Amino acid sequence: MKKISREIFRKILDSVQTGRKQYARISSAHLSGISYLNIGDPGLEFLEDLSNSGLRFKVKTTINPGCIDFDSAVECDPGIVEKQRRIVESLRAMGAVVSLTCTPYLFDNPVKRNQRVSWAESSAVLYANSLIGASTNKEGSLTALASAILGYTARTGVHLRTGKNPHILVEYEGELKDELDYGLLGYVMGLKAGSKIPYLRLRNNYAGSLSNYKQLLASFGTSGTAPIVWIEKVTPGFSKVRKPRKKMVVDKHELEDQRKALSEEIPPSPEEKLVFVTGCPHLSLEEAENILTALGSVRGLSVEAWAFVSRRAYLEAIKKGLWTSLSEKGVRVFKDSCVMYCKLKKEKAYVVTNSVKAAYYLRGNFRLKTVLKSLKEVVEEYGVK
Amino acid sequence: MSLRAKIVNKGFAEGSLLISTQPISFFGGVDPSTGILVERNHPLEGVSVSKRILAVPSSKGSTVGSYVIYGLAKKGVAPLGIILGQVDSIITAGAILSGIPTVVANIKKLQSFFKDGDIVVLDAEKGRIMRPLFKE
Repeated sequence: MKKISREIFRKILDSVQTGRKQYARISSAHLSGISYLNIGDPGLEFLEDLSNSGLRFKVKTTINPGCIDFDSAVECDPGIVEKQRRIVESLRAMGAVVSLTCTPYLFDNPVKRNQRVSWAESSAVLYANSLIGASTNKEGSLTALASAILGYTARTGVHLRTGKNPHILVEYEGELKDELDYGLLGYVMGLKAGSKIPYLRLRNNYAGSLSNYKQLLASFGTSGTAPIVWIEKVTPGFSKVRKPRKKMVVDKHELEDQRKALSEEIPPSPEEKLVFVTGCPHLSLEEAENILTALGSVRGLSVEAWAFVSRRAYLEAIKKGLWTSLSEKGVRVFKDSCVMYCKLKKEKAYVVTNSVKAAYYLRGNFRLKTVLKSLKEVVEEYGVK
Repeated sequence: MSLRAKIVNKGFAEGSLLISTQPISFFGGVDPSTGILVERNHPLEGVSVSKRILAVPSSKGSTVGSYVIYGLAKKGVAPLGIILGQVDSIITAGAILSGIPTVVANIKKLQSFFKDGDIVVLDAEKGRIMRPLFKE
């Protein structure tokens, strides 16, 4: 078998292009396929071989979350902890920033408008293209890895002149009362748009905060294939882009249908415990503050509450005393991992979450029972006065 | 007489043909240390892909399949060559990482030319599949 070389990674980039091979220089990369629960022994073995081959990252490279919190590793199986550590060390040796987050755009790998990058992790791709105005395709684990090593990626999709143009106008007239509604709208749009790039026009522009759009885009990335959603009045350059003629209307009931599809009925006195899980994608400081505000009127929750953040955001927020305040309300804060957390896999629990993406993957990959509720609903139902 | 094929990963392989009519999930569906198909009720359950020329419509399941193919190759139990029914990013990436000659061809047509167990030459330099010129 041939030694792992740059040549192999150029072939990986070439394999996603038909016809003439073209490349685009990139200023950063972000890698997925980091969690041991995801890539297992085959992935670990490959990443260690790669690291030992001497190849190094040519551009700034951040990495997705793993499946443990290095500060509370005792919660997880020692074998898993050791293998997760080996994955991270292999990548660190190649020059990766050990960000362990799905929100690199917040602190670890800030990207600017018009910059070309090569990011895996769909929610970060959608955020970078739709809210920042950068350019990245939805790279796969291996193409992102290839471009981190080579410093360029395949010039396809959004890197082409017309590659970002929207194909379909999506109109939504219903109410969007909280982050969950935004998430559900994104999810429905992804299901209906196929591979088309949507241009979203909200008839009633409610609380259109970055946190809400972050949820909309993360769930769009879960069900859809397009790397960008044009959001009218929000996406940089929206006024100059040509509006598509083809139109699609999303109805409020479609949101409700998907909410039901991703939610179990919780019996009056369930045998299993309930865990409220939030921070998918990792919480921004704004979202962490929203949680604190929502919990302001109560002493805490009658159910367990787990929040997932990046280590960098965790450190930033310590300065503001945010986590102390949250832990006083009984919220446990996890770093380095996402909701696909080692311990959650083994829990017999109903997972209540305000993230459509979390519900989708926890059902599909961890076979957990999930219930979608907004933060406000969670505080109303489980708040302890 | 040879069957045309589109080159995915260049190279040259000769071996016994194994035809899977169903997609294969390398992650979970194939034993990573032996190459034996372990997916329940798969038509090839219990059969090994090791050292065969594997014809398969596509992959299915997790993208970690690429790493599994790499692992098989390291242990010397990967297919010698792969004939895909359609472009497939998981198997393609695995084949590139492992240096396995790979092409895309019409599997139905392939089945009218060859049968399971036939010795075939996979020429992924010129893009063709044929019988060996000399029989041993």
